Amino acid sequence: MPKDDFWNIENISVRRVEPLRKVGPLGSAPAVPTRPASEKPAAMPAKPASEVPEALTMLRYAPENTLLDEVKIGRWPSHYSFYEQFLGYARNYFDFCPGESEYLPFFSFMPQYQQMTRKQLCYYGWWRENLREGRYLRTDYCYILLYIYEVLNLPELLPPERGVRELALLWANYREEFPRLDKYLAEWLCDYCLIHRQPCPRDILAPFLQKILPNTTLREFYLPAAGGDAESSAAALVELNASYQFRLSKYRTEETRELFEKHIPAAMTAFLTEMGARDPRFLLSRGSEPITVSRDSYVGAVCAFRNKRQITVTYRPVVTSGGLSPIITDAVKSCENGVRAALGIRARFRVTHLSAGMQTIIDRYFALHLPPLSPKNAPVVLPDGSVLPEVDESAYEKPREALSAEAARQIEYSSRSTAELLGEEEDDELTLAPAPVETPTPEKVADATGRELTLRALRFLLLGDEEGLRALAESQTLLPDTLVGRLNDEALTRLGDVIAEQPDGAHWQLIEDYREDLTQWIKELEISTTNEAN
Amino acid sequence: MDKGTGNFNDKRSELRIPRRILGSLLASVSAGVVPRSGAAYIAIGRTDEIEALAGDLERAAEGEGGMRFLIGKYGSGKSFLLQLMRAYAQEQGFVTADCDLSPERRICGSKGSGVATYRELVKNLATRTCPDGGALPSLLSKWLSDLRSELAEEGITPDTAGFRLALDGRVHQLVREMEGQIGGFDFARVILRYEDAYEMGDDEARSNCLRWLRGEYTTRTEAKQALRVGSIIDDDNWFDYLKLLCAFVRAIGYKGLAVYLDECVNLYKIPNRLSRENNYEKLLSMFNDCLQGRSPGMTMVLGGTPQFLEDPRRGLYSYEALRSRLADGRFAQNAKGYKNLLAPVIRLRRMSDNELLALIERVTILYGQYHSCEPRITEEEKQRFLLRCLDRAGADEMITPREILREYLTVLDLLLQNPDAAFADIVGGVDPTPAGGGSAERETDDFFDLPELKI
Repeated sequence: MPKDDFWNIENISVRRVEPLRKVGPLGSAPAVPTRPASEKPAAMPAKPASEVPEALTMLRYAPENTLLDEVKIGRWPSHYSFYEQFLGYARNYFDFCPGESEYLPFFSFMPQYQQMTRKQLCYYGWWRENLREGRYLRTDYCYILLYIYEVLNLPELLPPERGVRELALLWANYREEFPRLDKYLAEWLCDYCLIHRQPCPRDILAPFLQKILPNTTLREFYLPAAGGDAESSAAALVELNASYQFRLSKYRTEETRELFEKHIPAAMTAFLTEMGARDPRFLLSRGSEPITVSRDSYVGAVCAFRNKRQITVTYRPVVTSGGLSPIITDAVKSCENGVRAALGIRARFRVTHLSAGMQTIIDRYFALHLPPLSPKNAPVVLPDGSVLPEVDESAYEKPREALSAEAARQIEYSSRSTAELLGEEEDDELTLAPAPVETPTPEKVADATGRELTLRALRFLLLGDEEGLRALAESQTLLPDTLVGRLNDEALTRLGDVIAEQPDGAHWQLIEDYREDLTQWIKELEISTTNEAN
Repeated sequence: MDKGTGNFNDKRSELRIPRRILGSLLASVSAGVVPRSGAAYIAIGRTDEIEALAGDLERAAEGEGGMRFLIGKYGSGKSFLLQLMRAYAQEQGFVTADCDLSPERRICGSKGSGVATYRELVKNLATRTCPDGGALPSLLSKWLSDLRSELAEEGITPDTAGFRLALDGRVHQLVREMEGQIGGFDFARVILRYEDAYEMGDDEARSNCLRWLRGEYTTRTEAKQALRVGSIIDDDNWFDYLKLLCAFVRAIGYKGLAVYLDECVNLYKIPNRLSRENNYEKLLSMFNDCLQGRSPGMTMVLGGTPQFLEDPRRGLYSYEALRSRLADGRFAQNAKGYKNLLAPVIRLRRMSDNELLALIERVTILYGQYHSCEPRITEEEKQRFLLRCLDRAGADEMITPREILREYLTVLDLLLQNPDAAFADIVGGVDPTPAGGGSAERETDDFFDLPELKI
């Protein structure tokens, strides 16, 4: 029977057109072996997730300044070779700098050097040269992936400490345009840092760290609660819960960045520390039991066998309370309000989820460390350039001394002189003025002596006889007020107080407290008057 | 008042206080208000400050003028010291005037807030025999009486034909000396008009004169119709008329005029900067007048807080002319800890714990005197009471002698009225409440109210 070629699918499958390869100035490039279009990369051997066997362990360490307890790095158990070519190309093209080139789009499901045309390669080189110098030109997603693969596969050419920062900067600068980067770099960067014992570049990732956390399987690597101190814990809580990023504030400029970076985290630390003392839900807590997870490095990336690793991580996962997000978000906004006030920026966030007590904590921090910069609080500079000091209350505080009954007694005794000083009598006794010399008339009451006048006035006062008092005053060419005033003067000397007052402002009355004293006084005057007469 | 003979053994005979004053004093202290009379008997410490202010009165009596700023924190005893010196000034033969500044009463204002201060001062004019204020009519009465007496000594009585002429002559002689001062002419006319109304028995005219002197006329037209004078006392000129009043009281036999302004922190609180500076400018003018001899016989004491004085943005120090006159010099700043009671500013520090204990001791003695019994409280219990007061949260900053005395007198009252009660029963069971007033808000859980959080 003749061979049935009906089922020969090669006759019906689409032939892939091989791109043109030229060897120009890149004469050093090796001959590029072509690969049949039908050839697909070998699938990665399926491997159950398990801890790195001791035999394969290359490195074991306890990372510093992370929430991870232990990291074990192991060799990849089964060898493969399908990315060796990529590695070769990457090494050869590592220093390729073609100069300025025109942008050309590039797409591939698994970007590799051999898939690019010459112009694409030139643009890639130009773009990479600028990237390495901190300039982020227009690019395509596949160029970015290619570069990432390069970094992951060439630790011997690009030192990891630099590789971490380049990956992080790349991510920071292109993630807006290519959001898919979050999904991959969240894992690949973590793997890269763990493999090469590099710290997480939080300073670069900080503006979008919160967005990373939901995308990563190992958020404990990214969380800043590394030192276990209040600042780290607070920062972690903010990263986990705040939906507002103060680092993206339009008021955070080159000039103001320092204030933002210094005071907002510090204020949040103060806030969360105090709130944590009141309610444990505000504390960053970790699970009591450690867990161990294994991960394959660089999943989905082009990675040569020699760079592929198995990673085993032991850690205690972070636990947070749900529902904190609106509070912490508003707290961050309130902190930014404090910084804005200090900068003299009028615009403020409206915060609605903070209670009065919570707001007070934040206000207290800023009042102490960064008061509003307004004419009200600006330092006052004198014409000679010196600054007028604030109120110095130390001069008004009470002296610190031990309580002593004896000392108190001495103070009380010595203070009696004050009472004597303030209650001193006049040296000249106040007496009523002697009656003027005048021609006696039947209408006038005869009275030759001051004592007699006092006696009669006191009698009228005792009896409440205001008319009598008035007539007596007139007989002495005195106003009633003056006569009573003189009685009061005498009473002040004798008794220490006045004896008559005008409760209604018009009529003089005896003060009842002194009725007895007045009676006694009258008796004494009567006796002395009688004795004189005798 | 019987003076003590230096026998410290018999405490009660050492301090003999007229019963009415003692009752009024204890009632004021129990109510937590500054006593208007008898304050001298509970003056503890402050000897240097009192001597300094007493010295000011002596100088004023000799014809000098003066102005002092009494600065202290809340509860340091400024108002008490002002009342103390007010009573002492009256004893010394001064006429006193006192007033608490407020948002409605300032040194300077456009809507009558300046003259409101003057009105309050004149309303509170007081003398030794009229210590509670309202002394203006009796001042004038006394003056006219004295003139009559002088004339009577010369044989000129109201029945004599030339009595009115002679009396008018004396009055003119007195007021002529004032006509040379600002506002003196109209002031003199009103005084003359008052004398005339008094002799004629014209109560309405007398009342109009008193109204004018008290600054109660708000329009010149009204004043002209009533008294035929062309000016009134208003926001701009009230201090000039206060100086005239001072000259008048000196002329009629008093030593001078002692003016006490408290709560000057209300000037610091004026929100509008221009308005606040106008007040400070007026204060500067008053300060200069007092110290440059343009107000002989007048001494002024102003009570305020450290912020009122030293705040560089809103206080007196924010006004350069005042700051240069009132701020400590370079050497004084280096000599912190030393007192300088000759400077315009007297700083009152808060009472020490031993001074507070001495105050409690004094009040115990006075209480026993008033109720004619020995209070049932031991030395140790007094200390325990004080320590309990001082241990309360915030006591360091907020507790005042006023609060302590109020509570102490309550304890004594309870012990007096309940013979079976012991000190520990009353004081021992009291939970410490935060100092600064019983109505101070305490932090509760609601203060940090959290929404329901999902865990």
